Amino acid sequence: MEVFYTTKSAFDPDFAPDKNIKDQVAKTRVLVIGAGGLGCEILKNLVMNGFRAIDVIDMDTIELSNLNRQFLFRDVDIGKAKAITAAAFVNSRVGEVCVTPIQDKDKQFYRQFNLVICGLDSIEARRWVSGMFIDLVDDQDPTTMIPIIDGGTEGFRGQSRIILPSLSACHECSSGMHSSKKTYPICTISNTPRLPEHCIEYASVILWPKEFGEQKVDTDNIADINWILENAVNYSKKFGISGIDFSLVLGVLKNIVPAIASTNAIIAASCVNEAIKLVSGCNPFLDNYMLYVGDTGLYSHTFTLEKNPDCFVCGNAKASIEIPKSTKLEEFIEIIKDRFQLKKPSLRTDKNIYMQAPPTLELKCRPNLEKALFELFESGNSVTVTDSTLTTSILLTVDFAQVRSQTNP
Amino acid sequence: MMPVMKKMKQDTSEDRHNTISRYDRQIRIWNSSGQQCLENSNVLVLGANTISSEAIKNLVLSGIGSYTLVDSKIVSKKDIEGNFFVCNKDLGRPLSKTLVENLNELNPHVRGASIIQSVDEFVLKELNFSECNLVICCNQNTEVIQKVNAVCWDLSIPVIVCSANGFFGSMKYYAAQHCIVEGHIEQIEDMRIDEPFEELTNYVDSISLDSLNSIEKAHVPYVVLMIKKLKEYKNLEGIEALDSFQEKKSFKSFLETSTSWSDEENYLEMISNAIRLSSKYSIPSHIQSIFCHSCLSNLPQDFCDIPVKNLKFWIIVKAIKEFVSSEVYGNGKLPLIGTIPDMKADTKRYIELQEIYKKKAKHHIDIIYQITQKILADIKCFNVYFNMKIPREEIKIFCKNSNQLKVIELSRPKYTSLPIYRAKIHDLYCLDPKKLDSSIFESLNHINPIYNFDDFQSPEILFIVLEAVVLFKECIGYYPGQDCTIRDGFKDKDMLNIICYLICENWRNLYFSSNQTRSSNDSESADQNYLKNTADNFLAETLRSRGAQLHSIAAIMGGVVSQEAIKLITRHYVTIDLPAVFDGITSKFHLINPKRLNYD
Repeated sequence: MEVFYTTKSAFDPDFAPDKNIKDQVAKTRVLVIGAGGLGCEILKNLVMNGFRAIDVIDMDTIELSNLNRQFLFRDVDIGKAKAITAAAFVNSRVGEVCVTPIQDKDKQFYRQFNLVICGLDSIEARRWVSGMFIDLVDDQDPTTMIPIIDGGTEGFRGQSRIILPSLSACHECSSGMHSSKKTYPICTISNTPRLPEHCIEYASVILWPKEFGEQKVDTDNIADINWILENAVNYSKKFGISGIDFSLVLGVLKNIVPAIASTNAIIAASCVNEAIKLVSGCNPFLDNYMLYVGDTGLYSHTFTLEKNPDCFVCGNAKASIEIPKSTKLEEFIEIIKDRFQLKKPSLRTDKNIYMQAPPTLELKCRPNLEKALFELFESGNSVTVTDSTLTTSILLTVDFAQVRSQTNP
Repeated sequence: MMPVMKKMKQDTSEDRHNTISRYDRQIRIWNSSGQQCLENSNVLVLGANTISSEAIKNLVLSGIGSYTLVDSKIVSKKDIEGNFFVCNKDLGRPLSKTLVENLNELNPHVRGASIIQSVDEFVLKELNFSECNLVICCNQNTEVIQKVNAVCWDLSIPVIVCSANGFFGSMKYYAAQHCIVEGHIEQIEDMRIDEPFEELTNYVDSISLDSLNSIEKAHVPYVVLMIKKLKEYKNLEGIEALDSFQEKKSFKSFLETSTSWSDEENYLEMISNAIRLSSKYSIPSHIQSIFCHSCLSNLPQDFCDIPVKNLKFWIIVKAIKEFVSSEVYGNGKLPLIGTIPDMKADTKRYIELQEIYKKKAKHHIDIIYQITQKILADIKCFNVYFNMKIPREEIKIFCKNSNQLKVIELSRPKYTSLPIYRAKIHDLYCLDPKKLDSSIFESLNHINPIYNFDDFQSPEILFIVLEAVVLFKECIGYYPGQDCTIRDGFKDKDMLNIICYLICENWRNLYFSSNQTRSSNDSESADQNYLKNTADNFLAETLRSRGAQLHSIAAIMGGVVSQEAIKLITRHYVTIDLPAVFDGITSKFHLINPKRLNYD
């Protein structure tokens, strides 16, 4: 690697070779968020490229199903904390302390880092990172802008990207690009189920609460999964639907994203390759998005993702939607959940449309769920949407779509 | 039911849960059939280095059966700096042995072994590769690759070749024929709306829309609606089938204007699928060309001419072809896929419809199964020892994918120019340094001293430069840029230039026939300055790296090597069919198609 720090680059004439760059790389404070499939690879790549001041954060513990790709973990590690185990393994292999596992700290703590690399699998976690580091930016002080390199994979596909908080597109600028958990309307799963997934959803959303009340399905407990399996199968038999098995139940309940070692290796290495170029300057870095597709041949696409001025994290937090006025509030909530990747949104205009909490208020709003939108507000009204996954609220303008006019026969 | 009662179930499924859990996230991608192929596989890896370690890591994690790593190198400081799977205490030990020990730790189900012998010596021996399914060569010279290919090509064992230099990497793969059943290509639904089969027609006719109330109407699957409407439309217009896009568009507007219940979901689904699903049935052209493949004419009598591992594929293809051409069975159509997507419908109608498709598909599978058994029996007539069995389950998978089968065929690497390259490079290098100046170019085929890349595009130039680096190392013994001494003004850069020039010339001879002059209307090739710059930059960057292997680039290349290996072994998903390069500066992968230049 050193040879690149001490020689000129044909691709970046402005690069000034300097033998001190090696030390600078070693001292660069890197925060790795996630010690899973991507995280393990990222940590390995960082230390093999000379980074020596790395912190890693991950709240998860190791499971058997991680071992097909999270190569810093062994069978005996099942149940241990990922961040601690990963750091210990890397440090012992390198023979010095390069990686420190950390717990979530307050905002000030994150100011010390020079670079963040994310290997995350959930939209909520990415949202947290975006919110945190955009929040830290002080326009008067350029050192407060901490670059984020973000990797993501699904099966044979993945992406790596560089986010310069407040300067370039953030995660949320492109939230339409994330795939989200498939949800099924309640009326379909209870009245006209057709797919095995519908029956599983019915068992977990309708039957489980009836039986166990507030207690949640524990997707790590085989007994719980089997209960859902059994009830979904019973339900499906009434309709002649077949094809429900343990694996499918698990997939639906946990919203499992397929993950393989090779794609994680490629994307993680691509993230760290960008990190080296970004920190050392020895060659130009990615501007700002690389999409990788490996399932049919080998394909990549790089492009500049533009900042979205209406982004609800780094922009004005405005959005609009067009929808038939007869849409029920319940369906409307499902639609915006899907569109903005929300969990349990609360909606208000000048009055409360639907509030998730406190329980008394939720109860009061509940009858609205059955109402059509036009009974609740007028076309063109703005609805304030809040959600636990959002750092700020979204101001959503709702226009009632014209019912498609009939052309003359 | 009380939570206590739930616990009683736990033990019965605990074991099952554990066995599927380790590979759960990947079985969801390549199914148990793919996982089984992996577990039965045996991979030979030539060359112990970071790329091969990274590739093996991914393969071991995925659960391949076994692998063998060949190399005689001893662990050096450089290895420890760049390879995660060796550390300080390993200094001085055999590298391949050390790597295998550390890589085996990743998965107790995988067996790994090392052979401490130099790769050059290893390939000199009488090679017996028949035990392995795949050979991976990392950072090996062309001589080794040539020897490996000479053996593997005839045995139909695929070979993946990969190397890296600085921020760049390249990968090639060689295999005569790779047949893919489960390509997982996005599939077009097979619903036969244009020509519904008898059972489907009967079902559609049995539903009288006029007798339904509005709620019932809104729950009739759109497939039923569209079949009715298409029949009505064709009668009205007096046409046999919809061929052109214009005709399909007219059909769509007919649907939009001729129906009264306008904003029901099933109706909207019908409209939005009108153009896509109303076409006249036809077998995709790539399947038609598979039906014309010469392998089929080898069956049954010359079945030995088909590579053993692809024999099953071609037998089933032959059965499907017979099914298609039979008037009684397929009558010009492939077996029915048998699944339908979810659509707005009440449960009863949806399940009824699904059952009709399923039943028909099952019937087709039965017929093709019978034809397959007949072909197997025919082969047995020619060879009594032939005892291949093809279970019905495999026919089922085949039929489900019959409109996306894929055969990837590459041409045999010839290496005819290699000895010439080597001789020329050697001669040039051994020449009296005083004679090494730019006049040397003129002696080579009387071409302008400036090597010209003007026929090529930027990724192709990168590919040529990387090929040149491998040849340079092979013929001269070190990586370009490592020797900075200037011999009377003649540098590594000049030598690398000459090698690039030789490769370019060879490409021209291979891919542009002599009587054909290349047109230069291509926008990119028109800008010669741009290309000259690109070439200079790639050369400069290569010389800058002095053969340095960057860990992250090795990890990316190891990643794509293992990905292609998994696709080859599992026969799931579609492998590359062209050489690939990775440019770590722009972060792009490129496939290199020399033949493409002919069509530009």
